[in-house]
Amino acid sequence: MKRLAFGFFLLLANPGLVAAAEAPPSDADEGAGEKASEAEAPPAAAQEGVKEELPDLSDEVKEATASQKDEAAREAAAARRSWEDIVVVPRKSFLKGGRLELAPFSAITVNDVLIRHYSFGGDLNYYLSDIFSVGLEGQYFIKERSERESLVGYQYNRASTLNRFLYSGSLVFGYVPTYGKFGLFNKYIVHWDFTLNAGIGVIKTEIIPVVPTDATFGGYRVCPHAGVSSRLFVTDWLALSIGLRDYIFLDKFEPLNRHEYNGRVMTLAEAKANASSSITQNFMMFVSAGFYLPPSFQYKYPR
Amino acid sequence: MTKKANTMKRGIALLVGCLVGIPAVSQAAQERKSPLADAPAIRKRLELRDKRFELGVGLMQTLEQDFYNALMLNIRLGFHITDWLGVSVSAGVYNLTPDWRTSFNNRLNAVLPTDSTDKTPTQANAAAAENRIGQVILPQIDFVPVTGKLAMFGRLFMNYDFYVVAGPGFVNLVKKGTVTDNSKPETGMKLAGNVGVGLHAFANNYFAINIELHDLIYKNNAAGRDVTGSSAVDSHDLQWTNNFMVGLNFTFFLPAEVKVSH
Repeated sequence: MKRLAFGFFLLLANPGLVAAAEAPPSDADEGAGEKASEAEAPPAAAQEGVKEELPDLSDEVKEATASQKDEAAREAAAARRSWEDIVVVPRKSFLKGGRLELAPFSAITVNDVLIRHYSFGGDLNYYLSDIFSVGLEGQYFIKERSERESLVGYQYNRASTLNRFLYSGSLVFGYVPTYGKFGLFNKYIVHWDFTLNAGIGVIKTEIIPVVPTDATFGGYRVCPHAGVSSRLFVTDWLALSIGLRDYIFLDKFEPLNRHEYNGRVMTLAEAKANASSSITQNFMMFVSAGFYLPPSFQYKYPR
Repeated sequence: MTKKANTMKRGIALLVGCLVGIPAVSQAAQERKSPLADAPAIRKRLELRDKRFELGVGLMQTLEQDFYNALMLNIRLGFHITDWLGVSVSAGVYNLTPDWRTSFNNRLNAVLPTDSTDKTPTQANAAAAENRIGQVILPQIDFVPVTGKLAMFGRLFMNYDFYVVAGPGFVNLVKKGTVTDNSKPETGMKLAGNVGVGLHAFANNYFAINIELHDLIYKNNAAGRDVTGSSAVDSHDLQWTNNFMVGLNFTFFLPAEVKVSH
């Protein structure tokens, strides 16, 4: 009899849950509450007869029922809600503070008519906070003479005095003043930020002799730089960047009179000593992929 | 009733309760629908372009020209058919710096003679043969896939969009001076291909700062000198060139009222 009563209660409670999932929460609450009350209060006659034999399951039943009611109410509310009910102000989708960024990149010179450099390298940045970073940058350059450079000799009867870059390394500081998000076709949300960076390092350069058989020489130049970049966040551990950096340094070029030095050709030491100095700007456009460690992050605040 | 029997009953009761309750929860879970399922990415969005005219004025500058850069007065007129598609004309109507030599040209000119007896061109002939951009007219289609808002220093918030443009271009190449050697400056109106990107940063609902970057692709012989080795300067010396231009405009959108999306 007692088992029968208990089973009856469960059968009554179960439709109540289904009703709670389908019905508006007020109805569900009332319905479930009523049915739970019925189950909690069996008929008086039966109650008297079974009081001694039936163990007191009321606490467990109440807990199970309350838990199921809450779950059902949440489900019902979620089913009923639409996007119009959401008032959440979204937080930043990507946190960088305390994380390491390893970003291999490729770059191209964009400001020299005569010679173009491609570079391959990497940035290693540590984010002290979400907006400040400190890091190292290294790159290796590959030169390419432009078509204009090849025409200078033919059209103007003159040879170009050019230097090539070999490799460079810098200490870099970054600051993120701007972040934002955009809708792509008003369907996808993409988060991005804008970074200012500046640094100082050294670059190894080398002359390209006008007469190809002449010996070349070069050296390390102190090379400050400044730049901007924009970063698109793809996953919790991946970001794609595009940026511009301007490297400014005092470079030394092959002397114009290398083959007319007191009626003879300069020695290598003389050529080095008579090299002309000129401020050089190497303006480069970068694309990079940043990999973040640790690969995930946690928010400190709920929103 | 022993204690053991009581415990067993409690266990059976809980087990049966859970088993019977599972279908109800499962059914509810199946019926659950993400509240974002049918939502646009941005709601209550300012449709800052839809059915609006755009009138702008500013400056346009060439980048990476071989011999002469140009800073031009620029006008931008457009109509946005929808929030993501528009037509516009961006025109650099007046070259404010017709004598702005590139650093390469300055260095080259410095090593050319003023009077020449060999094949080396004189400074005057070299300069007279080199063309420069006089005006550009760029009718184009604006496609705006990206719209959003940004925060600067966590305080200043702006709406912005990012767009790509494509269309034909008309580039008027001009010369300055007269050549006295066998060079021949390339001048006149050139048909070009025009591709580019741009953005609007909206200060309010009707005023925006506009930046555009164009690549004008056309055939040119900027030096006005023989390229092929034939000694004559003709159409065979023309080469396809990429000519980058960047523009900064201050634009107004009309009507001033703006629609808000659902």
